[in-house]
Amino acid sequence: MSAFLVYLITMTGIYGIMSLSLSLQYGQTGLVNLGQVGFFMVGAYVSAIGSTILGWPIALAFVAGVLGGALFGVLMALPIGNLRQDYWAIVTIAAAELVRVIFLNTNLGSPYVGASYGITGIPSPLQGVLGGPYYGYYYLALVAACLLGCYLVVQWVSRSPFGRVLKAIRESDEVAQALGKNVRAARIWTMAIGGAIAGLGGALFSHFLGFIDPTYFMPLETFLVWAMVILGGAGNHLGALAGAIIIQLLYNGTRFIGFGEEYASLGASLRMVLIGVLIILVILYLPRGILPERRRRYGVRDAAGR
Amino acid sequence: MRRFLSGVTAAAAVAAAAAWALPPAPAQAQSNETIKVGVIVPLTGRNAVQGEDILRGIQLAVRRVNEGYDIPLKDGERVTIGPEEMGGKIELIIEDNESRPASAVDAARKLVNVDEVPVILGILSSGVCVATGEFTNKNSTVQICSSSTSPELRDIGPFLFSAMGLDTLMGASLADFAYQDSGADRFAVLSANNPFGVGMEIQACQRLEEEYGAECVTTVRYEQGKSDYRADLRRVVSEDPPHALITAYGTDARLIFRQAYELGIEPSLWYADYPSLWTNEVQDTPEIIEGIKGLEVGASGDFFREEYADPYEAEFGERPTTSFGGFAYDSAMLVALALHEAGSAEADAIREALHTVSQNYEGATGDKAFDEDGMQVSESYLEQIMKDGVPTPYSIGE
Repeated sequence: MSAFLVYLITMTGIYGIMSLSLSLQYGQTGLVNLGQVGFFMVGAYVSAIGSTILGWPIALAFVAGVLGGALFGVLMALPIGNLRQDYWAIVTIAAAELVRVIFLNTNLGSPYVGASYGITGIPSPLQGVLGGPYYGYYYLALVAACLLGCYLVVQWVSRSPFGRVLKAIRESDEVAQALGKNVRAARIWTMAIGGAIAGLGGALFSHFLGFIDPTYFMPLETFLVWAMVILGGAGNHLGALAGAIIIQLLYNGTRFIGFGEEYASLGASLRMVLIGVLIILVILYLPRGILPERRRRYGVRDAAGR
Repeated sequence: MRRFLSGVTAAAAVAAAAAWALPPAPAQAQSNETIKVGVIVPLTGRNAVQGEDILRGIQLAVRRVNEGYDIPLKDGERVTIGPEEMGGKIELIIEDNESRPASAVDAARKLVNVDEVPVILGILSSGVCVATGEFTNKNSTVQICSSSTSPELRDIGPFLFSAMGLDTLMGASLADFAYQDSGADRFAVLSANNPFGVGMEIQACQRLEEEYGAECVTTVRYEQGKSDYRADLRRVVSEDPPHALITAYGTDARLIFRQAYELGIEPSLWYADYPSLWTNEVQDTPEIIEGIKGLEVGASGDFFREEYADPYEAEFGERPTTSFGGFAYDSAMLVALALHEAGSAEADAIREALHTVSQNYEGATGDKAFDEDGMQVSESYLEQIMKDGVPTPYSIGE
């Protein structure tokens, strides 16, 4: 049981990194990125290719994964930096699919590596030194450290003057523009930071599982991350982490419901219904998420005292 | 802070409700009389139809051996296997992977670390088989994938088995059939862009070139679940090939054959592998597949019907919906035989016994002998032609 818990917490940490990235993009800046899984995939693939096919040291592969995610964020944002949110949504979902389709159709060296076969034998960091029954704990510590680092980065960005520009962009482009801020540049920077964080999540994911293929990066994964951010509380980075925990608990807690062998396939459908209902309940009763954003108000209160 | 606490409380309540809303299955009591066997299948999402069929195949086998069943052997004899021979009844712990590989990995971790099963069955796609197999193999848990065909499976390790022949077998056989039957020297290939389809394409083209000096003029890999395949089909016929090889699934296949028919492509263009992947889906429009020739695993003979398809229908009220369930059925039967042979439910003993019992088991889907890597040595194929929507036996040059 403890091994399973360690695994679950590790996965929750990886998803937590993903939701922090989205929290910065959507919660802080209001960028509707429906292609979040694209960053994840770039990070996972770059790092996996670096460490298996190119034979880089794992640390270098991780760095490459992070930079790959950042670069992809910039590339995605460059042509659409001036667009409104709804267009942003369309472009990002397409960009993520583009990445997936490219990897799905690209062989890496041999016909059975890359493309739909994916990449096997992705090494885990320090497996040779720390390998053994407790390796899971070490990897968990690594993920926790990365998560903490990402959280600090995101918090720091949010609290900085640049973070206030991002918030202004979220509320209205014109506000930021009226103050003489370069909205396009701010968006591109946000995508770069968000991409780097999600790229790190992808690298952690691929080295943890040891195997990836394009079916791990379907659009559905993006929506799971969205559910985490919305449930947890958009605009509050701790909320994004809480959301990751809740989604993992919902998906894996419900595995322990015994539907019995006879009703297994009915039970599987009911499980998905239950997950959906619980998500709806949280949204109904906590519409701003489990940990809502704390809004700082400046200046005069309105008549109602709000 | 209070808000934070109430949030945490709500989260905990939701989780608790989720985990314990219903009582666990009664059979989970700690008893020596049950042998837990894990099953990972997609029961929701886009592969739910195949997943349910795989599950039913396993359930049919387990229900039979739990009541005592005469399992057929190659020499025509049968051996009675029941709870006494196996050392207890088999209890299935079934995990849905939602057609998401990441969820399958969660499920495998749970089965190995929490339920501590010695064996995991089911598993549809190669991507899932490789990912969970790396983990189960490291943790000395036997995993038999029912319908994964990627050559990568071979290298994973001693605890991984496959109930279906890898691509190397099917692709070459389809090439043999297509070339010997048609005598054409130019082929197109249309295949699903997954390890199963691509493996067929690679192996078939290699065989056509090396063995017959024939050529694959166009190879098209299609994305599953699209709503229009006309562009792919136009590419298939762009070089005007006399014949084409195809791997397609269920509703994709129905749309592909319908659109090919509407584009005026003769169905006799196609040589298909595993037609049973789509024969159910196209039964209302037999004209679109009239004359398609196919290569089926030895799963359509009388033995398959009597041993598997008819009892399946009696148990679940409909014919097998895909060809995958039969492979899963065979994998479960092999486990029952191995439990008897090993005299223990330890994974390592089961692993060794599987090699022994597979040599002599008469599978519903043909010969199931494992080689030293746990892969299928051979697969028996049947040649078929579609007549009035029904697969009919066919022999080359007819």
